[in-house]
Amino acid sequence: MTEGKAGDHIAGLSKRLVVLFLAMVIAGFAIPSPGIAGGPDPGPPSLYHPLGVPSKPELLVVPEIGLRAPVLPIEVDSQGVLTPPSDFHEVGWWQDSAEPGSATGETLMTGHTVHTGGGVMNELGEMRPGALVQVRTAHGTVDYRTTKVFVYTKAQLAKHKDDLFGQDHGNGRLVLVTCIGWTGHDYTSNVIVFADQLGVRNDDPLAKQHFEKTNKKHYPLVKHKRLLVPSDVAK
Amino acid sequence: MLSHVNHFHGFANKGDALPGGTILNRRVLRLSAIVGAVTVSALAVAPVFAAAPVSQATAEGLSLGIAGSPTSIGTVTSTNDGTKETKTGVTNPPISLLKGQNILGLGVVASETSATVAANGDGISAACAGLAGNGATIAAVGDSSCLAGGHSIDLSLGNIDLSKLVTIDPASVLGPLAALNPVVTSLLSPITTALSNALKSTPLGETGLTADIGAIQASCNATPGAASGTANITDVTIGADLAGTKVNLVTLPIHPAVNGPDINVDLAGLIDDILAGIKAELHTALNGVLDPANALTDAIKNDVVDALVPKLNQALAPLTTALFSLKLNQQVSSAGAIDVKALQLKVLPGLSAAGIPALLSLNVGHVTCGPNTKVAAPPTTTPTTPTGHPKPPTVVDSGLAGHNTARDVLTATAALMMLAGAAGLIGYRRMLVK
Repeated sequence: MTEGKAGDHIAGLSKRLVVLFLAMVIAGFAIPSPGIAGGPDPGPPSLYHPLGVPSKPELLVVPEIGLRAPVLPIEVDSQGVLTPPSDFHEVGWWQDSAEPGSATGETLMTGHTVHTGGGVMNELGEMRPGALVQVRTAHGTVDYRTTKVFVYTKAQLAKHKDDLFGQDHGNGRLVLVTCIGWTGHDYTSNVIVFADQLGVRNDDPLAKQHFEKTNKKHYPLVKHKRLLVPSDVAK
Repeated sequence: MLSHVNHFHGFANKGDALPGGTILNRRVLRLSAIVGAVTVSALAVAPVFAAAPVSQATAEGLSLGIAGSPTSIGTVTSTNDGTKETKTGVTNPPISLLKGQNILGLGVVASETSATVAANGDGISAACAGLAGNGATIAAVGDSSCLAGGHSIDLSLGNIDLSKLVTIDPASVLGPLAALNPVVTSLLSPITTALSNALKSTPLGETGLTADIGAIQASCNATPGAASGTANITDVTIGADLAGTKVNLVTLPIHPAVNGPDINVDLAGLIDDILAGIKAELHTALNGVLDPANALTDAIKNDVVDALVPKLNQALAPLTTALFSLKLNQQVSSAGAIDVKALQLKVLPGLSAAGIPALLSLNVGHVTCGPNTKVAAPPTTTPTTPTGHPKPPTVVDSGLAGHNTARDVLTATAALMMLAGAAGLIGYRRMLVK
């Protein structure tokens, strides 16, 4: 009889265990692992928001080197050569690259360096990481922050063309390129500038105008605890 | 299988003694418990597999340990789960993060990683980490020479107070003198401490180790099932500053062999010079402030120095075997993964034999790549054009020669001559008309 009671006791314990296991199984399915499904930390509030729709560039402004030039679309020729507009005061945007505001690909722009001076990108090599770059489009001005400035020989550029300009990767980074290394009859290298996309400032008038025109309502100005200032951008 | 059946059979027989229905319940409950336990275990393990990245890489620019307390800066990690890359860490940390250690001068610690998925689904990862002079930037992650540009930097590996290695024990060092002349004992005892202090003003007092560095970097690449890495060292010389004299101790190879032997650098060739300097310093000290009322004779002074110097030589013995040791391009490979350390330096590694951490350990450029896997389908399904992505340019021809001054002068001269000719012709015609 005692043995029978012990059996009942074990059976009762086993039932509780089964219930516990089932509860854990359900919990395992229901509760997501923070390492897998946890959302990213939203971080501090930003002064920027994404451009509503990627748009063709119209004007390039780099305050640090006094560059302010109209942007025209250009194409790569059959030999794989990308040549800026013949007017060396203008900047060319490779029209097969990403439009400013795009979340993928890379936006490639190039302008002439003129050996005797006056080229729109003569001072590109003087840029430093942190410098602000602005690209105006019909739908707003996209801000970028310079991350890298470096020199590649022509051969290195050709070797790394996919990493530098390929459209199968990237997050809308801006790439500026011009020539450097004048030998007396030719240029040996390229200066390359990488700039990460910050977005459109919340107080950008063009973006506001475009939003109100297309949405027929007031532009939502987000209030922030602390607005970024130009020195933040330069960091 | 047979034993399994017999086992259950036996169990049933034993259970026949229990009240009816209990046997079945226990069987079901035990089976359910086992299934539940297995399920829970599987669920516990499942996230490990689910979270296994398709591609991954890590980079650590620099880690510095002083007397066993390490500090790392420039640690960056990239992983890709097949849909997106997640990157953590700071790629260009300020050197000031080294807890106030004034070891590095102007320089750049750089770390960069990437973890992507190729169009065919292969997980691709690359990493680069190292140290270079100011102005250096990472040119292309995964290349053998990924830190580009920059100036060379001076690295002070710190001043090593070697005098702490030597203790003046009158019983053992000066004991023989006392035995020879009991009077000396009373004379030497007060100056033992002073002798120890005097050593600090000799080349033993401080030995400065310095390094002149162009760039030190490690890089690696990995694809599913394969990984490779390399270390690249540019213009690195390590030297010592002994009593104001700078001596180059070792110049590192640009492309160090993989897992090459340790480079141990010692002061064996310099010990005689150091001891000669110490001997002169001691003589000077004994003739001056250390001589109590000029009671020491020249003979005793010579005996003191002669007794002390061999002991110093003995104390300096560890420095003749290893002042510092270097490991370059240390690589550990496993299936589809690699770990590369460009440079590992330990100052006074011999101390570890006595259970004391090396005085200073410096690791520059540590990267890992892989293991990577392959995803079944391409990570993105948003082709914008039916033919795929456009081919990027191979040449950016954005340079102009500018105006040729000589040609401009010639053109202007020709224009002026034409103008003058035209004016002359008009004047001649007017003259004819009149």
